[in-house]
Amino acid sequence: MDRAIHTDVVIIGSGASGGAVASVLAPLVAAGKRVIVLEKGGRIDPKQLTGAELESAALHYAFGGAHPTEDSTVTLAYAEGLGGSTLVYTGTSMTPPERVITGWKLPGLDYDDLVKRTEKYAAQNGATFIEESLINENNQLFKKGCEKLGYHARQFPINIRGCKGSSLCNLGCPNGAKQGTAQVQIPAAMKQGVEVVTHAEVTALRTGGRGGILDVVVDGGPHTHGSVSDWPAGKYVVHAHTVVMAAGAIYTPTLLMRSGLVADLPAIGRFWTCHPAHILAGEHDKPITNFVGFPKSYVWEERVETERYVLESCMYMPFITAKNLTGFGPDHERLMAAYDRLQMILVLACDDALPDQRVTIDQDGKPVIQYKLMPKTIEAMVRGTRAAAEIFFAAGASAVHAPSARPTLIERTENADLNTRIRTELFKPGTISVSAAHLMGGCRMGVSKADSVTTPLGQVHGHDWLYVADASLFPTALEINPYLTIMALADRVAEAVADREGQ
Amino acid sequence: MSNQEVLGPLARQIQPVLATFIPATARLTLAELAPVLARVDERLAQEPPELQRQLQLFVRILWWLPLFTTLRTMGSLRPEQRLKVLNWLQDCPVTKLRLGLWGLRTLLFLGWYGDPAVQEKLGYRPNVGGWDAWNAAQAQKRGQ
Repeated sequence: MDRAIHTDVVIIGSGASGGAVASVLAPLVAAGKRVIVLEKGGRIDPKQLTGAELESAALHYAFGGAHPTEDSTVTLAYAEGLGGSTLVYTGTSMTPPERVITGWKLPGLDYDDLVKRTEKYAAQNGATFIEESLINENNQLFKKGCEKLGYHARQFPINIRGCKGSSLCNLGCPNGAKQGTAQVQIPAAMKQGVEVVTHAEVTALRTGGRGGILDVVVDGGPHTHGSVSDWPAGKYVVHAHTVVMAAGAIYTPTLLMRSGLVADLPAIGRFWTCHPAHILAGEHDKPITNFVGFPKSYVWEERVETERYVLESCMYMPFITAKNLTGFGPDHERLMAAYDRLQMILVLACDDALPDQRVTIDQDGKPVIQYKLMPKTIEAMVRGTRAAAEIFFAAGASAVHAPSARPTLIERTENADLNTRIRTELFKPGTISVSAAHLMGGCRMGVSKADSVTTPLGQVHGHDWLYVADASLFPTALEINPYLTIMALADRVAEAVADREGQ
Repeated sequence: MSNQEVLGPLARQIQPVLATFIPATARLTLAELAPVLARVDERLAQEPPELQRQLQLFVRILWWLPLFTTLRTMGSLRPEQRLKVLNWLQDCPVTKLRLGLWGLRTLLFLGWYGDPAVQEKLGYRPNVGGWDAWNAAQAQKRGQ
């Protein structure tokens, strides 16, 4: 028989949004309220992390970091575990662009207020600029290349405390230095009495009684590194006065669709975006420091408004690098052998929020991501690739690997021919590796049921007990790394939930 | 379908494809190939049986594909002929074929470049100690 649990608030998910909501609602516990966080994944102890690429990816990421879209032309990277994707992000702490937020035209969403909230979480997470002497050559070369071309590369503020420069951010920091909700907001909430239950998967959600009813399965394991759930294994029925969805831009719309709300809210799952990205590599004549030090230090975003792309310095491990270099055979192998001489740049495209780009569910209720690389997105990635190639050569690279060129390796002598070497018609979905880690939309905020799922405060239209607090709220792509904005929006939602609980 | 049964049993058909993708693997015996395919099969164990079967079918198609133009199987082609066939497939107009090749290539890269020993040979030697460990290693190199 399923065990019944009664609570005032249940938060589904513990990543950037779930952690923020838990920390804001924690004082309710002292006022006699019960607040529970349900997390599908387990606790990951940084001390047990080895940094081994495949082992760490399997431990942290759903689908090993490559959840395919329905047509398999894009793979999606997101983490499962206490802390969600804050376990594996690089912690780049960016305030949202004013143009994007005001463009959302949401009543009551004030840009300055949102920025103040991002500053609150940036401070909690210790966002800072690392000193220049600790920035490795891979990143310095990006800045140098930009400067030579007259571009202004901006240093990322990053949320670290005691970073040793292991470069393993995307595999989970083995030193526990990168600050995420598992280090900051969740422990603070637990100290105030918020209950956190790991290995607890919410399988269904429905209206009932004075709020919502959740079917929950707690997996008894065994789990990696001996992680155990806080509740005994089994099935539970959780009755909550208020339900806060913080399961991310795939699982929040999935759960809402499973709950049968689609007929009433046709926008569920729709207007989904992800900043599709790919990695470019520039080959230098001498070894550079690339796999030691913080992996991502600079961003160049001066063409985001006009040309719809952003470039970031980056560094990835050998398998991910091999996957992202287009092609195979002797040329690919030779470039891989030059790994310690490779500089890397990430091209991120700003994709449009369209109704047919969406998360839906299959007959078993599992998520299916119906997302296509649209011509405008491909054109943006190709323009970004040309700009990245210019930066590589300006930084002194002898050759550049460009996925949308044939042959893919462009020699320095061809620098003047980038427009003819890198072409849109050579960007073939299914040949080029495209991945995305900024998953947004699917439960967009708005004022009308016809084209949005929630109010500007995250309350699901027509369901006063149900809130969304995560990246699925974004009406359009954010155009920057989104975690601080996710936390800031979650902060607003949490205040609305606190008001409801205080009534 | 267990994680040993996806690509492991097809080692003979995969060997020439892997050697084309990563020429350094051409010298591997079937026994030496086993751990590479085991890493792939471990990853594939999480995938639905339907996808596992599709991948097996794709490997078999690759084996027989050159027969139409050369009257030879993939295994009996010279390395440069194999590269030509696979390069054609990589850019062919049929998206599903391109995706199949991309998927197989990515999995075989996982099996090879995911090996810590191969990563070390590439010069990838991350250390949880970060800069301190790096500087110590450089000082040791200079002292030698």
